[in-house]
Amino acid sequence: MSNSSRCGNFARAVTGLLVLLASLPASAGEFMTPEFARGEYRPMSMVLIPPLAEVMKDKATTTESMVAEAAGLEDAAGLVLREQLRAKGYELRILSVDQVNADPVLRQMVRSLNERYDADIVQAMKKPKDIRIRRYNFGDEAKVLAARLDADALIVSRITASGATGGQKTMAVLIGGSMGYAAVSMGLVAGDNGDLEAFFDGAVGNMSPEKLEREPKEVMSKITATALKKFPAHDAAAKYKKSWPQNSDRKVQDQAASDDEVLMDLEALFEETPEARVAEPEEVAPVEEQMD
Amino acid sequence: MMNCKSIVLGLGVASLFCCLPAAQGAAETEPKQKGEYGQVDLTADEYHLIETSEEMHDQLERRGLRHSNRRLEAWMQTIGQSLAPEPTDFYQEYRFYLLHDPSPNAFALPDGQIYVHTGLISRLQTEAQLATLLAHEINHVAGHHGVLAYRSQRKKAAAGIFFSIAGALAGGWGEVAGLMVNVGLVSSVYGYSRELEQEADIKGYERMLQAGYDVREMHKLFEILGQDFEGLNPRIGGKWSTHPDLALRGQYTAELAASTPEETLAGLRLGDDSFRRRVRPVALETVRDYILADYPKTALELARYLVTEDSDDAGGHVATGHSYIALGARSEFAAEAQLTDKEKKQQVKIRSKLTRDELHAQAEQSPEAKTIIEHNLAAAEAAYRIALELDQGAAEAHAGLGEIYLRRGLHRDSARELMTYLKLRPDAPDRNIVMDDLRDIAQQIKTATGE
Repeated sequence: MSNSSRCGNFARAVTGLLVLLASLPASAGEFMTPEFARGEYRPMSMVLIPPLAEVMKDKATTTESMVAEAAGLEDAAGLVLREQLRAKGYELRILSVDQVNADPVLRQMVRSLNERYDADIVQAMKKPKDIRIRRYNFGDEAKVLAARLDADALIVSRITASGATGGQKTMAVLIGGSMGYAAVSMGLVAGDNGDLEAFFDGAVGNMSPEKLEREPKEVMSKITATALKKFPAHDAAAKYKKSWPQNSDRKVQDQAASDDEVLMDLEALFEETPEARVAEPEEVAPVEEQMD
Repeated sequence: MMNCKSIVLGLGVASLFCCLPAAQGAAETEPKQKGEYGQVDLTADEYHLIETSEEMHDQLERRGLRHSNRRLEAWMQTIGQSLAPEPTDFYQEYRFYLLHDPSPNAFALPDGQIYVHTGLISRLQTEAQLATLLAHEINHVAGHHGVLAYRSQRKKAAAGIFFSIAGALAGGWGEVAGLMVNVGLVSSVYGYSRELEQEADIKGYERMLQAGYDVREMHKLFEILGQDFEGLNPRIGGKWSTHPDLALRGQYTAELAASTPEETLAGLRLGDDSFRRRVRPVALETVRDYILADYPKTALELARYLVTEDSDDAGGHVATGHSYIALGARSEFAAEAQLTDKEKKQQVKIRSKLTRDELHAQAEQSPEAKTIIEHNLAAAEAAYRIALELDQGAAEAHAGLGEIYLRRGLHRDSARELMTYLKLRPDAPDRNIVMDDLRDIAQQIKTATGE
């Protein structure tokens, strides 16, 4: 299947970005829609989807997975992110791994969003400035999950780290190579339309395996602070959906009408009005004929 | 073949995991490198491969990627144990798991864990084909291929460092020479893996025979792995492929089967007739997974197969309807299998540059798009109608019809179907989206009737 090509692109994009980021002591990037940057869009209820981490030990002669350490960073990420976003005036709910795995429907939804996010974030990482024109959208996968969680927005986070051993660092000095790094990225996905509202990333260089193993919270604090440096503080006066009509793509629904009211309304319309169809499809020839 | 999720999972260390992807490339006819099928003692440094394998299992569980169908896993375990040899080392224990991933893949970890993706088991037709797959992966474990590949990689990396340093010290052409040696070593690493893959295939034949499975099914696995309904799998150049060419693998396994004495073949079995019945629920889920991943042609092929094998099951027809809707403006008749490698690469490039919405919008720009869309909607409608004839309570068929009528502008019909869907499935996961549609429809009807 062609997931491999996506996989390759994703890997190349991630690697390229991270190598670039890791070459600096600390670096960050932030990209937002104009509405989010101006404070016209501020989610009141955000949920963090369980972050996914990939951690490697970079030795002089080989590279090894650090799976347990990845779990440590994933666990630390939620607490750190909630703490740092709270300092900026946001409330963040953390969706735990246990909550997800206890509910088969929720698990399927989270898996679907993760699949969609990882497939489509590749383009966003190539042209992050296009977030300004709302080019990136995670579709129904984001909308159904946000509704299930009763969230205005979802945060999807990815963590990548590589701890360079002493031998690798020596080799890096001699012939070049990685000195280790840790990086985090966060996508803020609007719950009502699935748009990528904002994307923040941050990285720090010179990372050892021991640090990743023993100090996951400190590592996460550092990279999260770097990533969130320019995350706009919450403006209490800015209300959810304020000024959204400026964006023609965004539907403003009359939330006053409950589901039951809408359904009753439709039942009544069927009873009162004739069976005339609002529009009829045009007659079209079978596709085989057209293609000939 | 690895997908993005696999990368996120940290399966990037090629030497650690031996996979059975649909990658294609050239191969030698006789393997030169061989696995170790006796006891292999590990150094303390190598033992991390075993520890990491155990941690990997926990990670897959934690991320909800291990499939919840324990009955199917238990059955895989029975088949796998009939093929597996006695473990030669304390760190080996053969265990068979189902991984929720639509890519057609399987992989083995050095401690004996073997994972089969839902996207592969869903496409297999017989128990003997599953046995072919498991036997291949078992040989990676039994032959300590992961450990040997790790050792090989370390040796070559150490040599690479030596040449890099020597080259850097020499400067000028010396540096270039060091770089070239490194490139050669990388190529050699990939070649080594390819030979072990071939060995796993050939020894798999022996295990199949011993367990009494029909070896004439072996080559069909490679035909299934070679299917490319979307036209997105160009051939990978020989030196850079970790696996022998699928066509070649199909050929040598077919030749092995043909060389088997008739009296031996006569006693072999395809396996339990219940294979497809056991796999069917997973296959129906996999159709949905292909649609979610935007592989509608692959979804449609699998859905059609499900209809063919049980035309009285509404689920297969619903899956067919969903697949046709997912096609959008893309034709089911496009001959992706006939595309040249260059054309496939071009398709991959386009797909990597555009977002999903942009890809769909691009398809809608074609002159025949309108006709194709209506054809797909009509085919979907027919499939849903059959599903409802078989099972009036097939809620998803109503949802699908609601979507079709909405796209055609038939608001009343759409509303009726969507409301029926919500009545049948009050806790539908996509209820909020359906309700948004119904709000729009109510508004449209009011506007049209002047209310």
